[in-house]
Amino acid sequence: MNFSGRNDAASANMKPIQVKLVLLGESAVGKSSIVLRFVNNEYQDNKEPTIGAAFLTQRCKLDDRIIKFEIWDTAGQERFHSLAPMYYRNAQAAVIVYDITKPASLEKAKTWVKELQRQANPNIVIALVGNKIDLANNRSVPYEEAEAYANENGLLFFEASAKTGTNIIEVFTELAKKIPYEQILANNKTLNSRTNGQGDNGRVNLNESENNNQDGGQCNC
Amino acid sequence: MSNLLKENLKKQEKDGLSSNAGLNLSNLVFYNSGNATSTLSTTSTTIANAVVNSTSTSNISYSNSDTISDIRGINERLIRNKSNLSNSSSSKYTQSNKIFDNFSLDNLISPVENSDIEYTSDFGNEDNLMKIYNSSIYDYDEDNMSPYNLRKKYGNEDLTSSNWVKHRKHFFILSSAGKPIYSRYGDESKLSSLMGVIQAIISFYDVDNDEICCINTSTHKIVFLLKTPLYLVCVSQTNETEEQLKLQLIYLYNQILFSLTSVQLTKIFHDRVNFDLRNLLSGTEIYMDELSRKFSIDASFLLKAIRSFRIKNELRNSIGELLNTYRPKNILYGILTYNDKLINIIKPKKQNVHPLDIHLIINMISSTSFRSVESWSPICLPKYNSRGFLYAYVCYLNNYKLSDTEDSNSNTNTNLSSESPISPDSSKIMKTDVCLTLLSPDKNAFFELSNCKKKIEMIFNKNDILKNLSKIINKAELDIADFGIPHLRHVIYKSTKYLQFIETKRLPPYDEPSSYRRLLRSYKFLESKIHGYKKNLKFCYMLGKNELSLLWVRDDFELYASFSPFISKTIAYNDLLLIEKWFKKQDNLFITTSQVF
Ligand SMILES: Nc1nc2c(ncn2[C@@H]2O[C@H](COP(=O)(O)OP(=O)(O)O)[C@@H](O)[C@H]2O)c(=O)[nH]1
Ligand SMILES: [Mg+2]
Repeated sequence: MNFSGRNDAASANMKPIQVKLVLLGESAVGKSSIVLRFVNNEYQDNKEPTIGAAFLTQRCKLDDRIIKFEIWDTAGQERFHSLAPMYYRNAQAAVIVYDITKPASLEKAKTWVKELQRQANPNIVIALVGNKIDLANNRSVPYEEAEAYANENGLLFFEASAKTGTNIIEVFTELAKKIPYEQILANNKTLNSRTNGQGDNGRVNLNESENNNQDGGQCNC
Repeated sequence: MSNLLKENLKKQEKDGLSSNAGLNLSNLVFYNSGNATSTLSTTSTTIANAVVNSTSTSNISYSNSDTISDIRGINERLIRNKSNLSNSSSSKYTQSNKIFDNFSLDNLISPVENSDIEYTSDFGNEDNLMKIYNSSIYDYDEDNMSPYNLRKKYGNEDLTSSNWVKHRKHFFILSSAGKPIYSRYGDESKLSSLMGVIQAIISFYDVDNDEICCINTSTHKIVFLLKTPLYLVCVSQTNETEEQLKLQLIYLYNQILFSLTSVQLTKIFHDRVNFDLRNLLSGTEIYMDELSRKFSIDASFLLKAIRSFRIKNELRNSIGELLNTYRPKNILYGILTYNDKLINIIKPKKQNVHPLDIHLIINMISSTSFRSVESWSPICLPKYNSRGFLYAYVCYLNNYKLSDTEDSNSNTNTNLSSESPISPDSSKIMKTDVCLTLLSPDKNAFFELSNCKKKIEMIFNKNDILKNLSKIINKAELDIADFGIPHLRHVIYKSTKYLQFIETKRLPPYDEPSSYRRLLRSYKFLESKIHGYKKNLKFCYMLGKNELSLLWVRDDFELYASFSPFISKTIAYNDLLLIEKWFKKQDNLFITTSQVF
């Protein structure tokens, strides 16, 4: 596959295919750092924790397609857990991140995998990413262990570093290759005919989430 | 259990174990709501014993008694230090352990003309104060550190760390069951013995249906805020008043509501008394840390007012109109800020904004995690409605050149090749410090609000608003030179009507964080005198070694100013009148007509 295509005139006229992607994982494993590396090619030591969720987009060219990633970077903290379904429910791709220096974060990643397998779109493409390989000296999750788990569960698997940039683009590239585009396009068609051609095909549809979430009461306005 | 403890303590007291208490019992003054000025009542002695002797009465570990001896160490150093100073100035204080005697009202009030009353502290007194600050207390180098780094630096301290006891101001939050929730310094889980002691002290009064409010020792002030299921405690050596510290605790309490809502908080502890709230608050420590830090370096919290961004009225109004025109249907507030300053706000007609809510929002959005992304976070504005969440859309606006083929989509076009992930287009995009915050009650409104942001950003760029804002940023800060008054160093002007304030640029000596902190302390002192005094006080000043600071309060404004210490107070007073006249003439200071819908 050719991945290096520039944004030439032909592709500029093409309508991008929107791919909804969600990042999940324990807090502080490096989800936000991975997205910022991917989208802006920037990295910040001591990134402050995400509150709620952050939304970013990135356009990429894959073969002769233009893909527009719409990325939800979620906060890993316990108190936002009940909001997670709102972000992964309609996602076509998920990046589940753990920290190779923290075994507990892999366990958390596994519970995310289970939750997605149970509740997300059945065709969702999932990548398991062990982040912070620049800290390989402090590694406490063996490559083989995580890889074996990923294979068993049909996940893409990478070790990466947001800090050095190692493997970051590869994660999104391989995900992009595995997305069933025909299906998305078909879905969009039916969706378009239903909603009279709205411009926001296939985006994370926050409107479909249930209204009975335990938010501690809606405000009164 | 607390009954038992009480009896136990009483018994010890009888047995004479109370002598040699670590804290200076002779100077303990307790204030509690039932019994406002019970000085050295038997109960208070008993409580002090609870602190000191708790190791023998309950399951409190030894590390705790170490701390207390450490505190005693500081205590003694301070006293020694103080008596040295006192010897040189007056011997009146040598027997007294009350360091801050010089700030008692009696010493300070002297009636002046026109029902204005002034305070002064003479040179010697302020000297004492300053020396005390300089001699014993932890040396701070934290002013340029991010909250993340601060936590890294101090987060592993515990009761046995020699630095831990030296911090000038501690904040602790625990559950009513005594479980640690937050500590400004140190690892909460290592502080459970201390939390146990605090809980014991509080429940001791609870038995009598009383509430402990404040403990004054010769060196420390310990202020309690009981908001069952949470207890908040401040241990301070900063000479701030009980009211001022209490307000800071109220801010921290509201920061917790901001993350959880009162409904969740109550429910959690109703279901499980022993719940470890740190699980639910993880990630918010930095916001608490930032608040704790800002209490000493940001006047907003003293003034209980919003810091406004100074721009021409026309520009402010046209921004407000644009915001209102393009606002999403279902929002509560639309807020435009530049760093920690409010540019404009749009709101429903009947809805007022409370400065506390705005302070919490500004504290949140100044986190770096809001840069370069669009954020969608459930938050609770405690003063608006402490029971429910709102959803905050937060995005820092970009300044970009509009191309001829206007593309409403400002996203960068990139490919997956690793060589150049950023396309040339994006080089025209400049990040700004202008931040748009939209608050909606609807958790599904993200894309609607995001589209509105796109429109607002584009229209701002079309009208050169972001460019104009970035141009005037230098002029937006009030310059002391604008007043043309020699020896004037710093001014804060607060409008009591609009609950907004403006402050002059921090020129030398106040560009130094330590000097600025000192200035704020003197303002805090003046504030406490004006607002703490029964009679209708309008004006007071304090002359110190470093500056002459004044506060003048009228119905519609508060004016704080600092002058060179070599200027007479009469001159300074006359200058204040001029400064006030100057402010009255300005029309670009505050948001006076916010757009309503
Ligand atoms: N050494 C190293 N640190 C990283 C890497 N990625 C993220 N971090 C750091 O890990 C912390 C948490 O990162 P963040 O992106 O906020 O994690 P998130 O909570 O999963 O979004 C921050 O201090 C980052 O600077 C990495 O690849 N290597
Ligand atoms: Mg994050």
